[in-house]
Amino acid sequence: MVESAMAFADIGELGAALRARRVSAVELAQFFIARLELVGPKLNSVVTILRDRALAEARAADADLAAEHDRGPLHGIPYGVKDLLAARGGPTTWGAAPYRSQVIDEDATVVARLHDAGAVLLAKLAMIELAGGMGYNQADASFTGPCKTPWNTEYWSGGSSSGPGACVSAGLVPFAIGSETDGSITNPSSYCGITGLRPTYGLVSRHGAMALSWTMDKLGPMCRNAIDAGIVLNAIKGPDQNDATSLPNRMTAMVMPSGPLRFATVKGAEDKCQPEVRKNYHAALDAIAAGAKVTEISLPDFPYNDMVGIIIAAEGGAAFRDIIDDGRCKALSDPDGRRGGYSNLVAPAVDYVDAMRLRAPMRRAFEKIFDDVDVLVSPTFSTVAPPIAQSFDKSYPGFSDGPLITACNLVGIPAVAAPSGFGLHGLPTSVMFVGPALSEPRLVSVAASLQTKTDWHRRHPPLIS
Amino acid sequence: MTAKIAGDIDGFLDSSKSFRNRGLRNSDEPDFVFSPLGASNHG
Repeated sequence: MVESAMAFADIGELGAALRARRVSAVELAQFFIARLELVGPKLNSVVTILRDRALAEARAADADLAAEHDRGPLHGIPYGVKDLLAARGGPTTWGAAPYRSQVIDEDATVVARLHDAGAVLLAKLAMIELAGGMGYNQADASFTGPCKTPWNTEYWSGGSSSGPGACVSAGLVPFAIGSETDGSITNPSSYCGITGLRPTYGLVSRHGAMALSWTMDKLGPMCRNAIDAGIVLNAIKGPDQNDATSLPNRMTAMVMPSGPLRFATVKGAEDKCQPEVRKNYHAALDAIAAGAKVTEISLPDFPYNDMVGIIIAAEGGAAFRDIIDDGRCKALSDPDGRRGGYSNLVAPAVDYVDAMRLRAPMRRAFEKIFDDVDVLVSPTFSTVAPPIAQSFDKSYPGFSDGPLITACNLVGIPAVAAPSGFGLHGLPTSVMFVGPALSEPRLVSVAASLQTKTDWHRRHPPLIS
Repeated sequence: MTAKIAGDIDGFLDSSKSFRNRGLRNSDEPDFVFSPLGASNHG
């Protein structure tokens, strides 16, 4: 394989090359480690390269293949994880200066499952400090500096799974694991032009992951295309006795609807989007829903932003009470993050409980929507990536995101964000598919259908080397 | 910084209004469950 083909190959292509002995798992690991070392610093996208661990896993993968012990589609495939996941072989920094020397000597459940699937962990990838839980208003909100989208390094990668977005997009890893509490997989997937899957709450164990919000955190794959996202999800999902919120097998039967899919758009979702985002969204909708019935729904009336605000304040305040109490939070990079914890400590408990009381009626309202609709379609974010040099609140005045991502995170339902084209400054735009709990196969199928009709997911930024 | 933290705390008062206005009933339980049996069943 030539360099650019290898850097941007998907899981199926790399697996075929491995099984045809055109490349070994060790060679793949060495190739991507070299790219992480060379390009990572240019994007501020890498925290720690786990060279020894990676080469050991790759040698084992080669030995298994030679012995005809094939572990499946991820056998020998390199990957990276957001640095909120514990993994043996290096520190786990949570992107934050107070934790830059922290060592958690165990593998998170998703890391252990990917190991069992034969995948090769190369690196811990950059993230917004504490997944943004103390607040942030600028790209420079990590001790590793502002992470950049490889499409234009004057612009942000998105966050909080910043490194996974930038590294997959730039061809530094074939796939990565990110996390989402309120937009942290979908946002960098959108700004970096890759495919991200936020699973149903509880489908993927969070054991070994930094907690920001116990009732909202999810882990999911960030990949080159929808099929890859489905492959990775299949390897990491399932119950885990170490995570009390993980769903038991008897509750995770996934069913595809019979008959043509019923699509719906969300009233108001495109009203405050940049024109290119809107145009690309309509082109994607036309591509996937040609000839199908498309209706429009209104989101149920709930105070989404107030709810997510108080839940993250209360749970995040408790999760990081130690560094707020002892003042280490003042070492965070973002000025908003340095002070955000103090108010979190006095978040009104009654409001937190009321927010949690509203989640059940909200879930019922969304279940009612999905009685008549199989897939909601929306622009993922209203704008392309903001510039690194400006605070977010000043980047694109007049444009704003609707409440769909926050609402769906509160309800715990899945989404797939997929590239839809390009907008301002040559930066990627994205379209999002949302379904009811455990509809991941449906969403992957819809995104894969879009990707058979378009080639946005095959576009990649210039090979930075 | 103290003034900004005070402003952040004031922000909670605004969100309190939206919860007060929801008309929650006494029977509306929060969506979290304590179990006296410990971890849930991962069958």
